Amino acid sequence: MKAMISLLKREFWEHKGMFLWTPLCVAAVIIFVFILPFLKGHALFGARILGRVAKFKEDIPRVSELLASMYLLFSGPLLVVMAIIIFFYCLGALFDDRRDRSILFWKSLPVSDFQTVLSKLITASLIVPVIFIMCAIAMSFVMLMIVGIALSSQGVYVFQDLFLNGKLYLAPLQLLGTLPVYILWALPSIGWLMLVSSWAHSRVFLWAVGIPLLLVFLVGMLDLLLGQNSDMKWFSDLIVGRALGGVFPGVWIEFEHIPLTSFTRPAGAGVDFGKVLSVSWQTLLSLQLWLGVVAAAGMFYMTVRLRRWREEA
Amino acid sequence: MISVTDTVTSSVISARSISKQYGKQRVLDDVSFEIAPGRIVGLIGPNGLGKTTTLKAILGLGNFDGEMQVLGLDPRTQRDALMNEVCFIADVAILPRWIKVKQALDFVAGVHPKFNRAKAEKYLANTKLSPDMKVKSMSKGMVVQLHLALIMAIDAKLLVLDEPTLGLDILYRKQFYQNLLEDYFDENKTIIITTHQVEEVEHILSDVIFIDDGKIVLETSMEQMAERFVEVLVAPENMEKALALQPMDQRAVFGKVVMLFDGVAQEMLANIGETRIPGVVDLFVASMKGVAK
Amino acid sequence: MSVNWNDQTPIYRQLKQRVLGMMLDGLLKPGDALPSVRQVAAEYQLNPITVLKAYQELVDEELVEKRRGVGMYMTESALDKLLANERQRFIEEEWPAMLERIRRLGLDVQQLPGLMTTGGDK
Repeated sequence: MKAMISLLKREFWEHKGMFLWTPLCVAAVIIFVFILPFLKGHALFGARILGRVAKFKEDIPRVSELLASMYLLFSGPLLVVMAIIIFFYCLGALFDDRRDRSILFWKSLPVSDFQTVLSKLITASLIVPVIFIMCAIAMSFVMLMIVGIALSSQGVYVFQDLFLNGKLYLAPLQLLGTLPVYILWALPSIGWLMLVSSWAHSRVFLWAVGIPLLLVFLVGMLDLLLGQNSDMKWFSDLIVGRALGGVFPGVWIEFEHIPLTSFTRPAGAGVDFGKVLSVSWQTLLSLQLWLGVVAAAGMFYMTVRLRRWREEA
Repeated sequence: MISVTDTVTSSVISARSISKQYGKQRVLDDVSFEIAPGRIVGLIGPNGLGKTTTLKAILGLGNFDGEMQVLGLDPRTQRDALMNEVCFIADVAILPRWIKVKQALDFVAGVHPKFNRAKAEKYLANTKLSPDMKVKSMSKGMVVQLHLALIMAIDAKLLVLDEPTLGLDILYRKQFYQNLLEDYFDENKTIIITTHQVEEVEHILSDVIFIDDGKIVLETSMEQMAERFVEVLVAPENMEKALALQPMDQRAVFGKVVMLFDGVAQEMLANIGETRIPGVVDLFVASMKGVAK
Repeated sequence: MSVNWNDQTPIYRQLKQRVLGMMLDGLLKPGDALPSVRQVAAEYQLNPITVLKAYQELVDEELVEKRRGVGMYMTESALDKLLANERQRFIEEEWPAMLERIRRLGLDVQQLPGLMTTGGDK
């Protein structure tokens, strides 16, 4: 246990730029870009929005309800960045230290290859998402405050209703609640990327992306030749999607063909995070999810073995 | 009940018929040797011809055929347990460049049960290294100091050093071995060193193993070596007598003839010229030539 | 300490000679502790076995004694023994060789005492 904590700390120290500074900086940039239109003097964009906003005075409860339930959607861009970070982290996790030979230092210590690979898996699937989600929640909250201030400046006083609205506090928890679902859907991708990372002698990205694309291409050709049987194509597309796309949050919506209307409330007042949570958890009933997890376990096993026996890059 | 294996398990390393093939090349060919505890062994040989592969086999870093026991464990199947008792420096500059001194200490303290952090910090106090320094901003010599501080604070039974002083200033090199001898080594520990700078470690070694072309050319303790091999500066008038004694090797130094004899009595050799103890390098070169024949 | 060891005699014997030299020069006095095997090995960059061998011969010749748990010490009688040995060696080997050399050079033994005070003061 003590060793695992040291291993996780090491992953964080090694990638502090990716895991901490990146979300903070991206969040800061997003906030900055967001705040610009609202500043006095930015007449161009800001004045037009603020002008329209004034009519919301009549409907403050509805406005604050919308804001409280949807503000977390601001997280979107940051979570996309998260997916990209996780993607590249996995690609380098078992490759970088083979390339610069520092693996010989790690291997000189009594840490099993299983523990090593597991620590990287935990970092990619749990630690990094948690850091990014927390940053995203904080960033969304700041942006919400900016909106609130802007509205208040036009006489639309939303703050009181806002802070009394339970959804304001519930939404972050609901977002965090989707994390286990995210992890399960992300495992095949993480598994595939780490497998290539432990196997390749060079050009990891090319191998990781190239092999699935080659598969799609070949199957596509085959499909054309055979004229029909689009099942094969559908299957290979799915495999590639699961192998490369799992790290993007919310992909289960795509894989399970969930209509976006599932997340809206009947009254049509925007996204309901409670529904996001429950619909997401329902995907645990999906067979393809668990098949993916099994495949990920297989890939994890192979990765550990490769870590044990593979020579330096 | 005493069994035959009892005497063998007291060896720190017991290698029997180790072989390894890379494609068509037989990198290690039926290599066997024993290393007793408390020894400092020099593994000497040309690059790419078996030295590093042998070390990797001992450390369980690669697969091989044959039988190997290191501290009673098989490096292929019991590597994790073995790493509790073995430390190694696989040539300079393998410490990760992003790591800080403090982080390296924290990490090793967190994963190695035999690490004594206070000891490591004591060594570091004698260097110019500060806790927040990153490896990438350190000179080669400083990196070795850090690595050595970590190693010396681990109570390991076997230390494997693969070219540990490669590319270092003479000062750092001398300090390296001095620290090792003064603060680390004792009769319960064993050290294996490979190095190009054989002259530097010649007197520190207690045993040598020459490896060339995947085979062991010579394996001897320094004591036996001094008794068995003699170098003679042959006086010109004694050339015939000298050749009759069948020298192992012959070379010319400043126009004079120097011959190397294996197993010939000292008294007989004293008659034909000035005798002296051969250096390890000269012995190695002579042994290699012998293999080539 | 960087010493140039010669390649005629084994290192351990050369090391022993150094210790004997220190004893004769008074750098090591009877009852003094010898530096530990570890220290000598580190300072001269030698294998501890080599140092041990040198020390062991000194012990065998009763010039050094091993005190359990404390270390190696120069014996009280060491200096006397050493001087006696060295004197005997001088008388039996070095002096006759010296005489032979004087004779070969055709020097007059009678004139030599006058040279004793020149070329060096002791």
